[in-house]
Amino acid sequence: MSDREALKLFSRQAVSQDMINFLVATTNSIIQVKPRSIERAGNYNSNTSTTKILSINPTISLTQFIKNLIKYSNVQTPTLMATLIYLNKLRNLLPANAVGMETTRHRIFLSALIVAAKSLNDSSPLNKHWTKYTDGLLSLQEINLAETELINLLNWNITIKEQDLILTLQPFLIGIKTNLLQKQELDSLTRINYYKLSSKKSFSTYSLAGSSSYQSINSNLSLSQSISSNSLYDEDPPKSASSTSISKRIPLSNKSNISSVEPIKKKKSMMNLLSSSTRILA
Amino acid sequence: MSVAGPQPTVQLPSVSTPLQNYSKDKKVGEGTYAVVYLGKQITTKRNIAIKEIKTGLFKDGLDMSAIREVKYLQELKHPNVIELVDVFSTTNNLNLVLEFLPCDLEMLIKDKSIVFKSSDIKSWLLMTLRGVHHCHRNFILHRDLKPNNLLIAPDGHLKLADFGLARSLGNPNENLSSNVVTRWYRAPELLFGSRHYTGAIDIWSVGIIFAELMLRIPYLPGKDDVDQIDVTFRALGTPTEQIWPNVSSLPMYNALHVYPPPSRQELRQRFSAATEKALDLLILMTQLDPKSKTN
Repeated sequence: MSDREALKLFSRQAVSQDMINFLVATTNSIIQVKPRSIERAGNYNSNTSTTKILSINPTISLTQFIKNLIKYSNVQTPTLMATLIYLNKLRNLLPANAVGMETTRHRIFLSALIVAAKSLNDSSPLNKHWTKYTDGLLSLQEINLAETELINLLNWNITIKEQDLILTLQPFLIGIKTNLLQKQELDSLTRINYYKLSSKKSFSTYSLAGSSSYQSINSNLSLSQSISSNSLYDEDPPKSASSTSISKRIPLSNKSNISSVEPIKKKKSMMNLLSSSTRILA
Repeated sequence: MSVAGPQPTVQLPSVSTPLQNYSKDKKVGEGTYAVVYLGKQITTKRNIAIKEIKTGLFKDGLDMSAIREVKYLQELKHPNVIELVDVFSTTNNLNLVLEFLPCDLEMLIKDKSIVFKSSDIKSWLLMTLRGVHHCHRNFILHRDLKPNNLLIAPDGHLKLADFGLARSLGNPNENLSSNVVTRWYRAPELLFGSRHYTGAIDIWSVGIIFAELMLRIPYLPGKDDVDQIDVTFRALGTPTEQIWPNVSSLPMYNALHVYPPPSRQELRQRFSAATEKALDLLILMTQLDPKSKTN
């Protein structure tokens, strides 16, 4: 399965905690913030000297900030993927020793998100809505300024290439690819075993245990059936559930058969997953 | 840097191109959100057009259509798409430096002293479709094709312009806005408020432009959105479930006056100078059901 296919699957997933963590980590890696802010966060009660607002209202953690933004604005994975690309571009542009203040990372993330949302979605929130979504952390002027700054730093270079996405999201894509491979193996085993069992039932007078050659012919025969009746499976949970329970009962003995049929299986089960994932979204 | 907020700790060199590289010589147009100037690129003496977008007026940060226009023009380099030379911002404005194109199809259509030969229409149509094809194969819908946005270079090349409404086609389950395309060039699925449409809406617009090039007047000039539905189907027939399955499930499909589809003879009379092949193409591009439109 290619990166491109994994990317497609990924873009259709709901926003996960992993994705949020990844966004936080990426944003954190762009710029250092003054260590002072950590101290203040620790004992903000006693610290009344510097900024009044901050001491009353300690800065929200970046993770929570991003979570809130996603919740309020209901942005979907594709927009966040684009945001990630802009964050990466920005990291490459800023000097490594750049230091910001407490809310710098919040500003950077929000402005990248705004540019991504505006360029991708027909009904993007306006900046005044984004201001509300920050729960009072940033003002409209600050957001407008951050947005303009970001796009000037990027020098209006806001196109997104597939290759960038594949590189940036590799940690997720690897997971998707391995999961799919495992699922494919399990699926093909399940199916073969299911048909083995059903054929066992129909030819119950014969004893199949000993004849391995008969087994392999049988499973090859069942393959064409399994492909044609595949869609039935998705719509018929009791049946497929019984087939998995069967797979548990029967030891995974006929590995040699699988290797010969794998290419076709692979394609089919991927389609399965695709159609089931779109169904969830719809 | 002031992404960091009001207390900058690091100063970065400005990356935007200074205005000094270009001259603004003459104001040639003013729209609701932009002013267009003619100018020159100082170093090369090349003629350019500068679209100055007044960001100062917008209290809401960067304008969405400006972001999109820049994004898509950067992606779409093609002989039949306007070239974006540069982008830079000044304190209050955003400036798009575009290739200078002195003329558009609307001007030509209105200038009745010019006679269009069928070869003119043919080549304009071909260049339009090449540009549209380039957009579509990059998964971008233009969503505002009209004679006014088809610009002509001094050497005769036609180029698509104004990508402010363009968008990329992403996931099939994404909702798209149906409030796009200038009214007269709006495809039936948009008139019915469809949220899921395809490149067929651009092809429809091209078909209507094609008709306008032959007629020299707008083909379907609806006075308002309701009238547009009436005008469109009076000319091309009312879609029914038979020719367009599931049309009645679209959000704004309701009791319509049912017009019969035009006969070939009627079309021949309307487009008296058109050849049979031209009529074939026009009929294909103005199929009511978006699925039966050919690319």
